Amino acid sequence: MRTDIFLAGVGGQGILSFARVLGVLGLMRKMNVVIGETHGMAQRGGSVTATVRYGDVYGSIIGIGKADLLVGFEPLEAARYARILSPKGTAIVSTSPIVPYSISATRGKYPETQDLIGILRNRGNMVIAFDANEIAEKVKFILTANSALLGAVASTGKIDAQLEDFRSAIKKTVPRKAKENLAAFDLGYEIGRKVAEEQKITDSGKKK
Amino acid sequence: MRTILQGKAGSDILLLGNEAIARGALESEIAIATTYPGTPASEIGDSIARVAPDVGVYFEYSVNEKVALEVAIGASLAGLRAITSMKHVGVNVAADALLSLSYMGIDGGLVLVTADDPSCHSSQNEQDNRYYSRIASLPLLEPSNPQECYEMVKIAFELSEKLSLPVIIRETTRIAHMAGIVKVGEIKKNSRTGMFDRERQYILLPAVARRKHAELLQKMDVARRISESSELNKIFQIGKKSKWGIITSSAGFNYAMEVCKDIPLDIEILKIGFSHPLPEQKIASFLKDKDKVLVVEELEPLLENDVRTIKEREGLKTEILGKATGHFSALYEYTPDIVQSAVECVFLGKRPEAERIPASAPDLPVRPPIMCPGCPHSATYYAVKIATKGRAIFPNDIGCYSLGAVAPYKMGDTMLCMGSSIGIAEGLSKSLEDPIIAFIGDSTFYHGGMPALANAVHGGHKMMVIILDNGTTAMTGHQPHPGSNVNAFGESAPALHLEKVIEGFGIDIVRVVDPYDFKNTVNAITEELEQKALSIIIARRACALLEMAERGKILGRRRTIDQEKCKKCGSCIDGLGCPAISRQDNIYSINEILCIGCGVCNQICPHSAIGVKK
Repeated sequence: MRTDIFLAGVGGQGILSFARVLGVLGLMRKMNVVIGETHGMAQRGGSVTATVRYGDVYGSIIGIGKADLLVGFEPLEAARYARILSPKGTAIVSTSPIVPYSISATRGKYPETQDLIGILRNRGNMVIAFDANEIAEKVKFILTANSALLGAVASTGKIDAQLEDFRSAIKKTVPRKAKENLAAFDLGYEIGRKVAEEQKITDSGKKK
Repeated sequence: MRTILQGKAGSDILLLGNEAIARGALESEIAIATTYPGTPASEIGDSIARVAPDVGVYFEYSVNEKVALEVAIGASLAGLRAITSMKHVGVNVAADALLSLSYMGIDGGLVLVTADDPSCHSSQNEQDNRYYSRIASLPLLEPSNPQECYEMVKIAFELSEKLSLPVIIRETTRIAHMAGIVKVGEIKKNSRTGMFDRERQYILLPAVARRKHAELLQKMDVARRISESSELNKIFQIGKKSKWGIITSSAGFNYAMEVCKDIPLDIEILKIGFSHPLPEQKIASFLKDKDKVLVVEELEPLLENDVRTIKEREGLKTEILGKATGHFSALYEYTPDIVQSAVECVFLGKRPEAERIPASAPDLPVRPPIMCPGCPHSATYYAVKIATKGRAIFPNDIGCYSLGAVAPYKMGDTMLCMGSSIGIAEGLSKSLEDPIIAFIGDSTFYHGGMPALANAVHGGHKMMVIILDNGTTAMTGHQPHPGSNVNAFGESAPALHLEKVIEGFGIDIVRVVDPYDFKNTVNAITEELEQKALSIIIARRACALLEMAERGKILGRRRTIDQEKCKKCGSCIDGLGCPAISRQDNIYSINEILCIGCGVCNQICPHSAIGVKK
């Protein structure tokens, strides 16, 4: 039994803290957990990835096409690592782009967000895409965007933990701003649930 | 904030491989810990630094790896336990001490941790430091996960004292930066009092050295016997007993286990944790009842070649597969996919995939690392570019500022090793008519630049050295250096005065500029270039990240672009290269989340289109 989660974003987006919340969750649930982190030069505004793996795992690297969940903190970075996603997997992606300096410097164009999400749709089974920053603005604390993404992660049921486990993992890791983070978490959870329901309806429509 | 002190004896805590090494050291009664920061080793020192005063450990960020090792040696010779950690190339710096230390021997347990970087995630090469255990003739342990990082440090200290030899622990980036559950024990403070035995010979005069070499070989014979019976060299049986086997170490073990369980295969995996001296008899008996054995190790085929030698010596028929048979490459780190392809090819007769699929999509716009918004180095580089019109040769050095080699600055013609920019500049200046401008950071200057500067003075070399002085070792996480007025614990400490240090070399004029004062920086560089002498410019401005962390806020008021005044000349993007400024469909704008208000962009905009955001 194994659950593989791949995290992709831009240096400075709090990806390591996100991985750490999932690590605490694993520890609380007494699951074996392995986290792969990125440190050093790669962090300076570049692509940053991390992995969280539960269950019967040894190393920190997830094989191509093996991730049950792909959490994208930025759409271009999510699409960049679409290959990691299992055909049965779910991608959760925040839709606000961060334009890489290299695109500006080369007078290039940032890809259309819809196209990036399309890449994820072609790989995985489900995509939950929403603007996590917008949720953060709603709860009036910008650093809660990642908690919104975590709410969507919880909604997929792919991690063997109850909603309350997620909530206490948040309280444990960000005790000072727990209220705001939990509010964002709940909003993210709701969005995730809605997307899943919509997909169920479409899928059953297709079957007919 | 996580701390490596959390968790009572017997409890499970979540630790990074590097933190697990630190925890293991704190449970081994260490008295001294030293390091020079370098990815992927940095968190070992950083996590000890955070708790050292509380647990009675002397910790320091030493000026370089050689000194870090020497300080640790001093503690060991006084009978105390010491640990020193460094990145793989750092061991090259320490190697002069290390390779004779094995002759000299030690007293208190001494452990050296080397963090190798297969795939060069944050390094200039991917050298395999297992070679150091061979060239220095020292015991080598290789962990595969945080729990082993923790345990092997404790074992290494016992082993070190038993053999009177330093012990090397070699991890790789994937092990160093992998977090996992570690069952910890009790923190043990040092209870020993330092004592130096003057009767013991720690002086490697030729006559002593010859005798000590013989002693070293005897010690390594003892080490070999310990390795033979060590629990660190262990067989894992997957499925039923078969005639197939894998011999592996470090990260390779993790991938081999997962792949063989997933397929699933009936196979035995011999994990080598105590990898020098090798348990040759254990390997021989493992080979004896096997038809095929695949060796899974990243980088150089050290283990593989030794396994082949053992096979030949024992006259065995076992087929040995690995790099020599083309199943693995000596390049880059492995992944489960790479190992799976080799395992399926060797044991299941599948054809290996022609090309390895990279995890990231190659057709999307890349996002390479860049200097941060407000980084003073950006301003310095742009000032140099204006002053020189880009017409000079630019030896560069190791640090955040290495990124000056890429667009838009393109001012890195060489980048080799710590401190090399100055020495290389000297050779270039004697060989070329072009202006030579070497870039070096403050921490790197103290680490390895000072002897080269002494050489430049004495050799009469005509060139410019720009010391990018941001007051810290920024790239690796803002560790202090001898020029900092605080030590590792944030306590005030005597700081070397950079100008006085350089003046002490006999250089009369040392110009100090503030890169945030752009015009004056350009002027100073232009004037110094005309001198055609050895000139030193210190570009001094605190690292913006550190400054913001200390102030708890951004540096100034955020800037914005007046679209009516903007003539789309590109100075801010193609010249200054500030990553907070973007250009989409030829519209220039400043990202207000990224801008930290350094104010350099409004100084360099030729059309006064950038101002304070209202």
